[in-house]
Amino acid sequence: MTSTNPNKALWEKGDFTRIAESMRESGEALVGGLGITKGLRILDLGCGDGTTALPAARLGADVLGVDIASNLVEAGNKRAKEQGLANCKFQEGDASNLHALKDHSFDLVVSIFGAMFAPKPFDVAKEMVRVTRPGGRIVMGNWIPNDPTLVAQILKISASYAPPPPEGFVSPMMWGVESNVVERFAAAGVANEAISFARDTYTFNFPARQQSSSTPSENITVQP
Amino acid sequence: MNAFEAAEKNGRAGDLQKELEALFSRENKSPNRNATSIPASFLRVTVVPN
Repeated sequence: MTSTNPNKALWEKGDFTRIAESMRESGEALVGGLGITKGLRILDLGCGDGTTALPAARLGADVLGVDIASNLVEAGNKRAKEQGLANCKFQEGDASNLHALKDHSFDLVVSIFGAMFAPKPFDVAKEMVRVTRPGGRIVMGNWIPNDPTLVAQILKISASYAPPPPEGFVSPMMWGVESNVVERFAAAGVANEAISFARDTYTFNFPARQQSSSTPSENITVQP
Repeated sequence: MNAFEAAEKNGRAGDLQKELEALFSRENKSPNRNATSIPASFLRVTVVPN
């Protein structure tokens, strides 16, 4: 059935699992630095096929991965099953409207290059705050606009080939600007002092190529 | 419409492919010439709601 949600349709159109394969090592390293302990209740928003969720579950956390794309949810549940992780489930959901999730139900809400791509960024911030328990944590990884490294450059090149975005379009990359992040979480009732920032590096690793396989750039699905 | 679709429509898919290939080659830090390892910077945000 054809989706009527354009964001959902966009993410279901390509096969993001091919890119995700190159993100496993950095995903695991990032999760390793989050102080995850057994039984911690974690929501991974925009989870894809589990690059962040699965390593968190391997550390003993109870993880729910939510993604807009049904094919990625299916891929995540398959990977969790293959790895014997009964404490890691994936379900469909929209980061800007997590109506299926109760208030204050997670100790940690994590979204690594996930929720930044959902429309309605103010709703996204509000929902992340709503489902996090008081004193819990939200950790986001957001690409940085106009950065000289890979992702911002892919988007810059892509933009020169794509038609202009519709009027009123808010670029997902705006989540990579500190003042925007502060503004969005302030609207969700979070004080400036409760928000901190750090610049970090994520590495895409594509293994040595087989003769018949595609090149890394052929695997890139260019999103807005 | 994503960039690849737009480029195909305009007969420029090859140009887009070339530009991306050049970017990947430029950014590749892998010592293995057949592998690709590309770092990318991101903003890490930590929020502790009251």
